[in-house]
Amino acid sequence: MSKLSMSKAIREGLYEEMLRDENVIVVGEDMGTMGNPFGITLGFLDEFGPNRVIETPISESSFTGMSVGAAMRGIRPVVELMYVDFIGVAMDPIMNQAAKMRYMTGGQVNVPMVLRAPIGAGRRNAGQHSQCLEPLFTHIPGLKVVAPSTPADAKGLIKAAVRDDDPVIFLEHKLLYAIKDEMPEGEYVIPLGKANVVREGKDVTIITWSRQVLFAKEAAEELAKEGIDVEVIDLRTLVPLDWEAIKASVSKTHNVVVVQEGYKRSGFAGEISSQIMEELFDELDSPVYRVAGLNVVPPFSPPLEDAFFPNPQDIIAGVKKVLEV
Amino acid sequence: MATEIKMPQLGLTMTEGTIAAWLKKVGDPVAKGEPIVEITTDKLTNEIESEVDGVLLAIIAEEGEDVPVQGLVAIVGEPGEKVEVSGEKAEAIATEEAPQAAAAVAVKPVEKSEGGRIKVSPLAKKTAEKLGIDLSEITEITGSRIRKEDVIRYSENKPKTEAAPTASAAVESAAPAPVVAPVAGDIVKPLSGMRKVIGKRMVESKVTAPHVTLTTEANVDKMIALRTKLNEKAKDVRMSYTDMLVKMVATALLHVPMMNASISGDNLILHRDVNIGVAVALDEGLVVPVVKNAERKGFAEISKEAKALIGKARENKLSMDELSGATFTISNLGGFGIDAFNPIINLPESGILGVGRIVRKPIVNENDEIVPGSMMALSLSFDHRVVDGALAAQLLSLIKDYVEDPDQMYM
Amino acid sequence: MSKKKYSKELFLSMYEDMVRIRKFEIKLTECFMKGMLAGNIHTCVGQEATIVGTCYALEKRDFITATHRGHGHCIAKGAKTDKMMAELFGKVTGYCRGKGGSMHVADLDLGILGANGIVGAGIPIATGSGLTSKIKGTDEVTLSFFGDAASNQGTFHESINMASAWKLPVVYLCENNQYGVSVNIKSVTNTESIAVRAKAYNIPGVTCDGNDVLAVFETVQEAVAHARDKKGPSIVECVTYRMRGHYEGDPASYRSKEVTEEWAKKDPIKAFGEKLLEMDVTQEELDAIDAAMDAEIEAAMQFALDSPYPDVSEVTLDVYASDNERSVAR
Repeated sequence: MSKLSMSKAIREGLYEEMLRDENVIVVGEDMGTMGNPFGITLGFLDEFGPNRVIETPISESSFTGMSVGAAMRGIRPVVELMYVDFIGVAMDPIMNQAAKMRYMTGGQVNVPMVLRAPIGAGRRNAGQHSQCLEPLFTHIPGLKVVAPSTPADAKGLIKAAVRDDDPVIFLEHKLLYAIKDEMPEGEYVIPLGKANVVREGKDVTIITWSRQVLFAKEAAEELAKEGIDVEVIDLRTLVPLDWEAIKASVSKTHNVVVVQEGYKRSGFAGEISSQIMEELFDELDSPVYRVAGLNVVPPFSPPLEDAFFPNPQDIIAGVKKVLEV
Repeated sequence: MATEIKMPQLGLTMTEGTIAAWLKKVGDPVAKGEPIVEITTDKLTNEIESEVDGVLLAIIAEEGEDVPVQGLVAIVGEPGEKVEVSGEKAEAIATEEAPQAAAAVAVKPVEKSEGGRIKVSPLAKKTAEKLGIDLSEITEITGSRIRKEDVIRYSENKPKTEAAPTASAAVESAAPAPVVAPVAGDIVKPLSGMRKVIGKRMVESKVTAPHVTLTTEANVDKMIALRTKLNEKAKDVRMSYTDMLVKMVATALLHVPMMNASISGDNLILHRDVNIGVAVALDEGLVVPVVKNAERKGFAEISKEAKALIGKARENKLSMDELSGATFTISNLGGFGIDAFNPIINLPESGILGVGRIVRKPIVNENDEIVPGSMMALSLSFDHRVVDGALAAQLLSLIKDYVEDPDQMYM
Repeated sequence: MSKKKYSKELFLSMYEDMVRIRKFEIKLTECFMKGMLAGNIHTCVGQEATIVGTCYALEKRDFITATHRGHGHCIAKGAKTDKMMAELFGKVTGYCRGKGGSMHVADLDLGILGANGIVGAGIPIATGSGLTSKIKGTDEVTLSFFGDAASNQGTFHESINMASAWKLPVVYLCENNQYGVSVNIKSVTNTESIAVRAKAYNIPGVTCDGNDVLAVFETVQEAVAHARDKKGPSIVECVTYRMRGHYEGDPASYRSKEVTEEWAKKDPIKAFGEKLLEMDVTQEELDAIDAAMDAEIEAAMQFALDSPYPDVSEVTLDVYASDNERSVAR
């Protein structure tokens, strides 16, 4: 078993898919010689040439829209926004074009594109480069949304995303890029819409995704020392949501904490919380609690940024609040 | 070595059982074959026996909890033995100190919100309902609302039998249903699992299925004669009137298939087989074993089968399969001297036949003469959602025809 | 203009399509007034020469992106009026099973990459289609219809900049009908023409009379040939006029009646008819086309009226290509 960082794992997944299918192209800023700021496409230009490694001008709106047009013609573009925060200038092609094209044409045309975007705080990137923004995408019918937490998952999921016939938003936490982990041998694909129970427990379920999975596992180990047995579910995919996994765990532990890094108000954690309330009310032994980022602009100053998003201690506090211990 | 006690499969259709009552506490010695826990399904109440001699080391499933078949219920082993509980049900591992430790939970009084509403978690509410506990009786909790643990703790510490509630408790439990306060000398007994099941199912039937009961009287002279003849011939079985009615009702149902049916959501299921349930009274309640495919069986076969089922019922040895799948039920109270009664349908069936005693009466024959005859009242309750009066009347009159002249069954 | 080099059949066919589009939309306005049509109807009455001249310069294998004012674009690119009408009536027999409506007609087999309800959104989509032809090494040309108002969207600049940098086979066709809803282009833009912006991208930019179908035809042919020869994109601006309001029910009181009446005199169908009569076409031939189009549109409406609505169960269908049910459920 070899170890790989998440950025290398995503690179490997994309590389394999580009070798497998000549319709797969990468589109975005600095994709060529530089190989993207995180080295995701390093060497791709030499290997696949400028026809398949489209290094764009800083025109997020149109290179995203252009990718929608190419996808309608059978190309499978993997578009990169350098930071998810830039979606503000590229939202129309995602929200009104890619997401709606199949439905509006009565099923005639698919938009098999992937929009990759780094998310997350913790790198002192301040207000416009530190957000998560999952709910902007999960809110829109027609989009699938993926947010892996490990290198192995990231590789298997990016391959599934490339092969999927729907537009897939692939959210990569910047602080996971450098973390190395074991990689499975050989070629593999992880299907979209399948959660992973990363830790089994009986007292309380933590539902989360992306970097907060790591924090939740840390919190769970701490809580175990106090005799609290925590189950941690890594959703991996937000749309489609693996409801069966949530239902099974909630029916077992009866107590739920949903953890997300992004702003608490109108977050995806709130969506999960509502669904549990609607359908699993009688299973609950306590109100579902959200541990989430503050409803503030991501601050620059390190102590302020550290207070902005949840850490393991916040998760521990959330679990104790739910269990009233 | 520790032995795991699991939820038994009591029939093909059983998928889970509910823990009704623990008959032993953690730390109690148990002997092989000794019942340790009472379980209920929607059909029956049963006891699980210990498979080995030893001590009850751990209770994995609390009272009121639903456990899937083969799910872990308890662990029995040597006194003081350490037990590793695998998987999801890692409940308190019992050593001798354990019960004391559990009792030492920090509790505080129940907080009531404005207007006196008690705060309670949905799961706790459900658990309390299952255990038949009035939430207003619970006065001590660990958190800010009544949770499942609080209900379980209350249930375990509650005096089990013959304990009259204190005056203050009776006042506090001002539930909407009328409360009967026992006076000195009254005996208060908790409802048995079977009584609770019967109660639940009868209420369910009455509120779900609009009942209509049709009554008629049949002259059973020919039936009596036939029974006498059959019993003279047969050596090994003694046929009862109920046995004969099973056959007659089954045959009649073949002609009125709409009454051999069940409502399932927005659909009506017309059953291919005619499976007749026979109500059997027991000391602790009532069970309804099933004669399967009665339409294809003869009098003797039905009689033999019914006898065996009733025997098992009295010994509480019926399997889930023998209690499941009835499409119609017969309840005969003739043996108790009852003239006639309105039976309650055993859902999801659509009809039930109530049978009264045979009584000699003056009757008017076809020549307008008053002659003595043996009469039996037949009362058919049917579910008005499934059929209307005409069709039910057709079934009842067909049964009456067969009872009055059994030969007609073969015409 | 050397009219001789084109056949009479071609001219009659162009004339027929212009009449087809006109009668289709006039029928729509009638239906709309009677309350038979739901939603918004944006007509291109007065712009038929631009639309037909442009689409006749394209091959069947070429692609277009259309606008919210897109009925004409689709019909000129080969869409059938009965399936169009059914779509506008929300019927299951429509091009998009009634799910798109007036602003979203699409048919990939006809090369129609969709009309679009967002002003300027078709421009990058057409650019992506051009990129696809370049990647695949095929020779289809993609033409993007957009209005004068869309030329002020960021996508106009971003897309044409990329297309010219990479020499993509795209024609950017600006239908300058002079109004973005109520705003005259002159009041929000400082240049005399839109096509002049081509200089900034170092590509060809031409302005032509958008009410002269043959002028449009020849201008677009050049731009298409330029693209097909892998010389890159160009901008063609057709100056025309929207004869009706922005959408049905808009009295267009923001513009002067006199100007509208002046443009009415330059009606493209009437002008082209007169031109044809000067050639070897008879009035009877034009009348026959008129009558045939009346009959076709009447039949199209009848087809739409007779067609069923989609089953309500279709409401959750086709949001996703895979895992649809689960992805729609939560």
